Amino acid sequence: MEQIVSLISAFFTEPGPGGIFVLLVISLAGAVYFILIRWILQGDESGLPIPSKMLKSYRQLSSRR
Amino acid sequence: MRARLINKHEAAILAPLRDFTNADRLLWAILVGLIAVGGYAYYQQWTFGLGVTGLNRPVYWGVYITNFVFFIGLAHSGTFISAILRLAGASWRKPLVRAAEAITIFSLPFGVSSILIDMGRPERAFNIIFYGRFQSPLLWDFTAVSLYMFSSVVFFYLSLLPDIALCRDRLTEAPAWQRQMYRLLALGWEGNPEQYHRLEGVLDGMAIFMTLLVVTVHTVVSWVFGMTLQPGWHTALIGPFFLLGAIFSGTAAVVIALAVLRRVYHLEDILPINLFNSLRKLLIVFTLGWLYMMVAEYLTIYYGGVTEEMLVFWQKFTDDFAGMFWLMVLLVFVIPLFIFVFLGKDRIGWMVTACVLVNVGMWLERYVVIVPTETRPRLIYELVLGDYSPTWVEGAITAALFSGMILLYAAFTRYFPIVPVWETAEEAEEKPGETVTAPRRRWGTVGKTAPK
Repeated sequence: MEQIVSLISAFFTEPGPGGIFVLLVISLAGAVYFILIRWILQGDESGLPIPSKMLKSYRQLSSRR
Repeated sequence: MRARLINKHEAAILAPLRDFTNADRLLWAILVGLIAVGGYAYYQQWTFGLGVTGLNRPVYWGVYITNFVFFIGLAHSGTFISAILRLAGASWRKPLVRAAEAITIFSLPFGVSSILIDMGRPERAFNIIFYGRFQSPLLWDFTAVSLYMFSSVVFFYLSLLPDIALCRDRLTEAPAWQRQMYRLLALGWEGNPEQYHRLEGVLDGMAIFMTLLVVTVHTVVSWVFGMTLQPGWHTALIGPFFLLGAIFSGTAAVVIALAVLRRVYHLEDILPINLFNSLRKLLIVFTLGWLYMMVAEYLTIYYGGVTEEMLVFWQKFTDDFAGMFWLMVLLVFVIPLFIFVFLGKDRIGWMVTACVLVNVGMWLERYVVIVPTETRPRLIYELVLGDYSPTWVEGAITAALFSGMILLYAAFTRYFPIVPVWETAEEAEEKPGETVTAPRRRWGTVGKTAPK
């Protein structure tokens, strides 16, 4: 029990875990925002995912050149 | 027939993006010049160390940290106007949200830079990642400010997305690199009803999160001071005090930005006088709220009469910093309140005057909160009495930071619509065969198609 308490205490008092926490928070936010943006862009009337349409569009542009 | 959303002001909003004038070039050149002078000053500091500044023992934080708190405060304007008023359902905010959000986006990096500049060894900023501890308020600050900056950029970008698509489709005469930039940033936005529906939903959800972040960020910024045992800082009121001051100065900055944009880009019809009158009412509330905080803070200290606290108290009220303190009271409270109440209604010039005074006064307020405490720290018997006078290096770097912020803001208004086209559009009937101002296109619908 004492070891568990000291482990928890070390997590909050030792240098290191705080930095990992910062990176975790920023990474989590990045992942959530990425998913949200992708979800918004996929809101297509035809139901087709936007990325494939984007590719098609770029192909059309390329072929014109 | 189907309902369409068409913005009759579209041409006026996009006009600044088509017209780059000599006045712009001159302004940009002056700002770049000031940034160069600041760069030279920082080179001096980098080469010879913090000794070229007025910082010393025990005054470790001076103008740079004042700038940090001030810039973070300015950054609250966008989120306040955009997120909080969105949640409150205030529709009058729509034409001004982007101008306000842009202040957030372009002031935050300079707030963060201020901390790095204040560090004699800026590379040690990475220590917070490698050796960060939960006990340290600096870690909380780093986390909150980073998350706020990241979230603000996403919030700003999402609300800009339909208008980037508009630029992609409308500005066909723009240089190739600019069109390519619009094409990439638009992410293939089509502008169909489902996309708009989802975008609105996400922005509403993010508005709640951003409101929480606004409160958290400036409270945590204040805790960098409040969690020490220093007189003048160690008070539970410092969080709300900082927060209210931030929203106050941020809203005043929005008024200044709007007035300049309105005048320079001829947006009188889009940014009507009523907007300024609405902001005026908010500013009256903030001015009185700020006075309430001041009285609550200093009355409590005075009645407590703790020796260390009273040293700092008299430093501000009658001693070394009295001139700056009373000037601050005049600029933040006395003159602006008089203008807002008696002169500001329907008069943009007076409103801008008051808001400039508020921002100068709020910068002084940050300075007066930070420096007097350091000149009379709690452990004064172990140290000499502190003294601090900023040098030209700090002045030049400060001018460069403000120039950088203005430059980014000015450049943004030349490449992106500063008034949201899609949010200020109005519903209209599209009749068969009729040419509408905002035709639906496959890629990047200009007008928003609303389901009937």
